Amino acid sequence: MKGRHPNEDTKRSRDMTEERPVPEGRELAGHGIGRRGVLRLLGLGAIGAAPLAVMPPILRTALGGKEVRSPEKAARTKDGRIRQWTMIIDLRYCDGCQSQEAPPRCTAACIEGHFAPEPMEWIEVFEGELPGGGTQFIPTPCQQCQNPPCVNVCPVAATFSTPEGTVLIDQNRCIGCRICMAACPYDRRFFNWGKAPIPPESLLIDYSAEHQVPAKRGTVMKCDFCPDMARTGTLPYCVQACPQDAIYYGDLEEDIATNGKGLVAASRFLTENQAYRLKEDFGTKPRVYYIAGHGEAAGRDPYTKDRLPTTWPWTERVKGAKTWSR
Amino acid sequence: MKNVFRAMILSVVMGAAVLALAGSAEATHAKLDLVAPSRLTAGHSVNVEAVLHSTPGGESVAGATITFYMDNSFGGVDGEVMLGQAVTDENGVAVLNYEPRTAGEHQLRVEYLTPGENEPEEATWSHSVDGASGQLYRSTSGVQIPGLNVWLLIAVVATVWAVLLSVAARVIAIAYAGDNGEVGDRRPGAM
Amino acid sequence: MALDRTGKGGEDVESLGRAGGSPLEGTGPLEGRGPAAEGPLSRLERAALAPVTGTSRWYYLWVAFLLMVIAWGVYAYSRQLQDGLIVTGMRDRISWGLYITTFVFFIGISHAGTLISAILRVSQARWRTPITRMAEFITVVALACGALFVIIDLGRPDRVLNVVVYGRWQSPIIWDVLAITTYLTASIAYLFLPMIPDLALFRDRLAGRVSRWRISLYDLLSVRWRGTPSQWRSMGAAITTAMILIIPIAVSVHTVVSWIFAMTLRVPWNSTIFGAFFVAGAIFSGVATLIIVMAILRKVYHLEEYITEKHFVYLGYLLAAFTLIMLYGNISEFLTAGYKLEEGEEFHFRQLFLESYAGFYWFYALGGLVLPGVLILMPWTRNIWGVVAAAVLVDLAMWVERYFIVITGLRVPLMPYEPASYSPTWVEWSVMAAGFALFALLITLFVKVFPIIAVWEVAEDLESAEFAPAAGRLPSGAAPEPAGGAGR
Repeated sequence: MKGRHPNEDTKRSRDMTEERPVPEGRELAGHGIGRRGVLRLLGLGAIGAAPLAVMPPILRTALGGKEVRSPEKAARTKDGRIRQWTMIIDLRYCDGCQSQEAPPRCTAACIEGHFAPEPMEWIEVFEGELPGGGTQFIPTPCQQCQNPPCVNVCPVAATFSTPEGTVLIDQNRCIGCRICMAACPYDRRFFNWGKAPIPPESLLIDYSAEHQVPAKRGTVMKCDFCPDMARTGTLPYCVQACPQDAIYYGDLEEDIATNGKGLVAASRFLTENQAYRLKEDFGTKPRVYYIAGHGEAAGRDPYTKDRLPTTWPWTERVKGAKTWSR
Repeated sequence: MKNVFRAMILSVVMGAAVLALAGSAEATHAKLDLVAPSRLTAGHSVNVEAVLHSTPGGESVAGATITFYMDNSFGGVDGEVMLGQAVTDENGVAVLNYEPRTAGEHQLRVEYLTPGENEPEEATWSHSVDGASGQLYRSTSGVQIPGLNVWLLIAVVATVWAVLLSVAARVIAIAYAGDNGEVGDRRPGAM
Repeated sequence: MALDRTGKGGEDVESLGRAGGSPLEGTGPLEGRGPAAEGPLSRLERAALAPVTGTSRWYYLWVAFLLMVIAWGVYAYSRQLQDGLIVTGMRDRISWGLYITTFVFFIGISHAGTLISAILRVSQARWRTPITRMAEFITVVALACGALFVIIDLGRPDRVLNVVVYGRWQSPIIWDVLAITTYLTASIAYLFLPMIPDLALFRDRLAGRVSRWRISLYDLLSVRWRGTPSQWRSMGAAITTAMILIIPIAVSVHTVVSWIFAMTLRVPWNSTIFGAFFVAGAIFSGVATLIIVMAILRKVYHLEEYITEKHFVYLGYLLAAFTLIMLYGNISEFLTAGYKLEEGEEFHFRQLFLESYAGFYWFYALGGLVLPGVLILMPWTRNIWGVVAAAVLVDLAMWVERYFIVITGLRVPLMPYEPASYSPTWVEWSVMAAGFALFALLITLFVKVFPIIAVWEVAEDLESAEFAPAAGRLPSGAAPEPAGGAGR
């Protein structure tokens, strides 16, 4: 070992076919493999990489597969263009149903219509503080983002954007990893931690991603904008149920919206009332717009706080189902 | 007698003056006309002009608010949508930028309510709209940078696995090399 | 034990050499020595073979204990499969908990192998040779246990194959799956390759002393190793390739694991520092785990001659260096966020530094970063006990850090509602304990079957170093001496 430069031999040993004495251990770590060795490596590597080509995700990428539902089923305007659903919530009219002396009717109707398991409130009426001490009620459905963080992170495309711009969940594919729940900045996704506390009759309904009944244990669900109803021209449960007609449902493609009583031109309605979206800074680009207010048009005094807590009306639940806390 | 006659003339003159003063700023009747292109395409906006003249006399009425409506139905609700409002200029012309969104035959209704009158002045404009060539509402999210896409990731992963598989091939090479019955030094340093 | 034949030390070594070649063949220094002298290389061989040939009662007790813990964990998991994740403490607002914490922790400690084996091998640091094998063991076992915890956390584990069939390249979870499987494959290769000559040693030396299936296993795994020049060349080339490749793979693994958090908009997670910070934390906890495993195995299998105080001190220096890196990361992240206090950060700072989670954070910062650094840098505690104590603190603190990162990240309210709380249930604790027991069990079993020391690497080290191995000391001036003084 003495007097020998560690790299002396390895510098010369490039051709593997030449008989060489075994290099010393210290040199072994830095032993070159030679030009032929590199070529052999690449050749074997290319053969070895072939199986990757049959991996399903690669195939789907190659064939241009998208996770968007088929546009054939999309809701369309009279002249055949795909509807772009939106919701405009006029907070000047929302008083949290204080005047009704009942829990918020929008949430109640949604729960009844969708058999939303307890304790899920797919449209939830939050009470936000106003500068100066009063509060405002903010009915918050899924914001149906156009840059949806939940769709971006889902590993199996169980949650996906439709051509109408809504975000749906396929509970038959969801693996329950809950990264979408971590990603949603609006707290609008709910997990079926146990057997869903829903009435037994809901088990008889055929499940579809547009009508998430019955809920499946171990998967995620949320507000879906009632796309199956909207396609037939029926307004979602929350829109129909609001006693103050504060919620508008609309189509940005035809530029029209309604709260069940009157019609408005959506873009003009948004502009003239300085409509805004929640957490605009995050760049999620929601489809739900808000018009600032605190229920004054419904006669609410902003310093009258609190709304009644939501209840779930089922008298009977699926056997073995227990509710859980949020 | 002369005083009564004088009072009557005074009141007539005053009444006429009042009437004249009242009538000079605004017309007692107005007439609305619509001027708009005849051929429209959904998604292309046009300017619709409403011209307001007083009748009789035909002079333009300025500073009047004109409202534009259209019938529509959506979500089970039939009714009128207010498309907008515009104020007439010194020529009595109010302009609204109108973007038709649906193909077919439509009627746009324009309304002006004269102050003091119960019935609004109306004008309608029937027009037909051609269909749009594609979706009008575009929601863009995301930035496309050429080359930075999923294929890049696939290429990196494939390369790494190719190298790993070549390492596996080396192990096979070791096994083959041991086949020829040669016995060598176990110790790397021995010569 | 066979090598205990006294009387003909030198001849026996030669006869063994004729049996098929061992790394110790042609041990020059031994030839011609008297029978009483057992050369350093045959001692090395004995030390490597000892765990495989003899099993003590304590071993069986230990394995039985671990199996009991695992069995209890399996029962707890069966309750979870039956009733759903409702048996855990996770809920809608705090939807990740102990399982994801432990997953991140295990993937973190899997970086032990990368640093020791790969980085030190690339830099040709000779002192690594006795511990590379253990480091590589830990890597493989930790990766397997970590991957298990992700599956345990799923709401629908029956659909786990959806990840393969419907996987989306754009998802951080898929990046995780890709990175971890790649790293696991590379680590297994990297564990296996340098072990081939030692497996051949086992194959040759242990005939008749262990069960037949084990001999066939060694035979199979040593892939007809004979020590020929072409085989050495192949192995050398493969190790070189793997060693260079595994470093970027390992860096990518914990980076993508951190991106599970950093690709979301949660206030404490929405930070660009996560990738680098997590990789540093991973190597940090990996070194600590290696120190602990090393200390235990050294004691149990009497490897004091090969794993000396020097090794603990050097790893201790590495640990201390990483405490500084981690402190830097903490300061970077919290100072830049705290200076501005954007919406949500104020709540987060209160919960983390002053209120509910303050205990966790300050234990981590003071007990897991400052104290271990002090223990190692103070000469009075810079010895095996001090370093092992520091390592234990570091591992505890790093688990706690992963815990509060996950929980406090999810706890910051997104809308006007009261912040939720999370307390793990017995199911989660049991499954976590079982995971750690599985980790320990796999290492325990591994030591019983495979060579725990890289015999050929240590042998060449012994050859080239100019010191008497029995003393376990460095020659004066050859390397910085531990300030504490003599080795053991």
